[in-house]
Amino acid sequence: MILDTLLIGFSHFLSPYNLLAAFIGCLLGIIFGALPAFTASMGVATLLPFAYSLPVDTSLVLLSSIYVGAMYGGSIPAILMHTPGTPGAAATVIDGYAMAKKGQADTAIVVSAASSSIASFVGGVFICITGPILSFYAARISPAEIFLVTLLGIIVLGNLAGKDSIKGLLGGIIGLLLGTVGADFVVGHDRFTFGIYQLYEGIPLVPALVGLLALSECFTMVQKESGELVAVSEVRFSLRKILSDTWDTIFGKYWKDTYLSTFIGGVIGFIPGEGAAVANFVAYDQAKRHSRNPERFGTGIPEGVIACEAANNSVVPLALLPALALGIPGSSTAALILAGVMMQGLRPGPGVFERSPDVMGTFLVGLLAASWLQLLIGLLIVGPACKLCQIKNSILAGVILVLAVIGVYAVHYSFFDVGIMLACALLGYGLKVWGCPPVTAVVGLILGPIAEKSFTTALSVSGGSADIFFFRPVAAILWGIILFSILFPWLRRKRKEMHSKISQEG
Amino acid sequence: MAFALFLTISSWDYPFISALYPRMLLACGFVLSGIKVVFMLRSKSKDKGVDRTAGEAETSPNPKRMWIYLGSGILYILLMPDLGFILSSLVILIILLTLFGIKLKTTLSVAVGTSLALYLIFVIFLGIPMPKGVVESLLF
Repeated sequence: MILDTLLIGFSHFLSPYNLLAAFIGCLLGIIFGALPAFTASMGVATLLPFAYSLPVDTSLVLLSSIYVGAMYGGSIPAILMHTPGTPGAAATVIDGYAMAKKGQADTAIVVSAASSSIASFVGGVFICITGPILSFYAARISPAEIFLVTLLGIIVLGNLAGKDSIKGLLGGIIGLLLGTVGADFVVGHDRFTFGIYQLYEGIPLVPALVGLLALSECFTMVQKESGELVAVSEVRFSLRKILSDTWDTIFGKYWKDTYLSTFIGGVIGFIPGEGAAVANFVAYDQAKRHSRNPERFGTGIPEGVIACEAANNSVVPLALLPALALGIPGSSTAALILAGVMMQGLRPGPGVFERSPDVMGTFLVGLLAASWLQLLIGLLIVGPACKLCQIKNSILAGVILVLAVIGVYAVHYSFFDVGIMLACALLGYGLKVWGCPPVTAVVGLILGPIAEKSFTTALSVSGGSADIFFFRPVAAILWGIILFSILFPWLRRKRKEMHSKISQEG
Repeated sequence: MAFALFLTISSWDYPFISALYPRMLLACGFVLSGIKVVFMLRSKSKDKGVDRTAGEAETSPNPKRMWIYLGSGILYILLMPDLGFILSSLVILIILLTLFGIKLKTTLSVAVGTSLALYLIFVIFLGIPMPKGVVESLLF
């Protein structure tokens, strides 16, 4: 089945549209990643309406390529300007900038691009193998367990997305409630529409997502003017140096760091909510611990850059794996990609590889191709990317506003949708000010209809008895994981408090 | 909590099967909000004098610019049916960037460049019919 999916995907991917989508996706992703005020999720959210007008496989290739490219793009300003382009490149600053100051900016950029590429590729190969298997077995679970899996996704994201787990969970509930707006799918009674007939089919997903994630971020962005960013050095590449640095990263003296960090990033990426920002620092710390010369970390060595970049890029495929195979997004960007393909009629989640082998195959091949395209494009556009980093926040926000309004209008030719987008932007901003990341509401909104459908179906199957949610082996295991997820932040906080008490006494 | 209460009252006359799931969510919302309030009161009594909350820490220094930005978005929607999407994009970018203190030369080049790029992508490349408006219909 895996080979069939890949072969079908390969034949589909070779169409000019898909090749172009992978190329443009990588290019835009690197640019979005390089802009310090712009994140991968903002880029995907802004382009969501545009992707809606493309065929579903092309749209999936475009959005996932943006995600792959953005992870590497974040390292360019981190290395050259001491400013990470994305939160996932925060630790890259430590050794990357130090290398640039020593006049080794070219090596830092090449090892960053090469480690990012190989990490995405290895992660991509891993999901090529595990994705269809996971999706196949997940398709055999009952509606009650699907409900518990979606509940788990919301709880875990609610816990991990913010500092305050209760606020995170409340954000998730707000999203779930937004998902209940409109006619319910059992008897068709309209809920929370307050007489607005346009809401009968529910809150439109594209405007809500663009508002909650992209525009709410712009509300914050316009209030802080960006500082003057200056590149520490001009970067000039020689083909020989590129080849030797790439070889060293993938097969040569740094291979251990590359693959260890790829593994760490992959594991962290698979856990919903733990994104590239966490993987970046954990992998850097592990590389330092395993090094024979830990004291050299921070002084500007390629191993430091490789550890961070391999880890943040291997997060991408592994965050997309649960999103597509189980319907639980591993990160905010994965949540947006999930929503994007859902709107186009694809039903991600259990059994998706059997239902749509052509789309999933194209996505997998596209992901593998994007891994290597980013190496090529990433080295070619270092100069222009540095220039773009100097764009002021206000200009960027102005362009995003126009793009968001036009893009959202173009989906259904409706100004009502644009109004929904602005309302959701205010809601997202309000959540942020309150200390709750809007991504929790986004995940709630996406998973809401799935959760309700599986909840109601399970209840009708059991004749109204709630036992179906508890007294089944898989359900019991899932409840165990859910309870652990609820208690995990509390246990972590207690442990931290104990450590700080011990260190104070010491 | 007030929001959850409002929604609970709104869902009062819904059929049982339609109301079950949202009411379950609202109940969870009530419980979590209650826990949050208790925690907040406890932490307030602990750290008297420290009046910054996590939310306030994220409040940025110039909220006026946020309202300008939101206002521009609303104005853009109001202008588009009459001016058409090219002219309204141009006008809104000029107004917004000028209010944000961007130099006139940069403002004009960004406004013209963005409007042109949007026209090429959405109308020429994707073939999406965008609002032409009264003014644009007379001009083009």
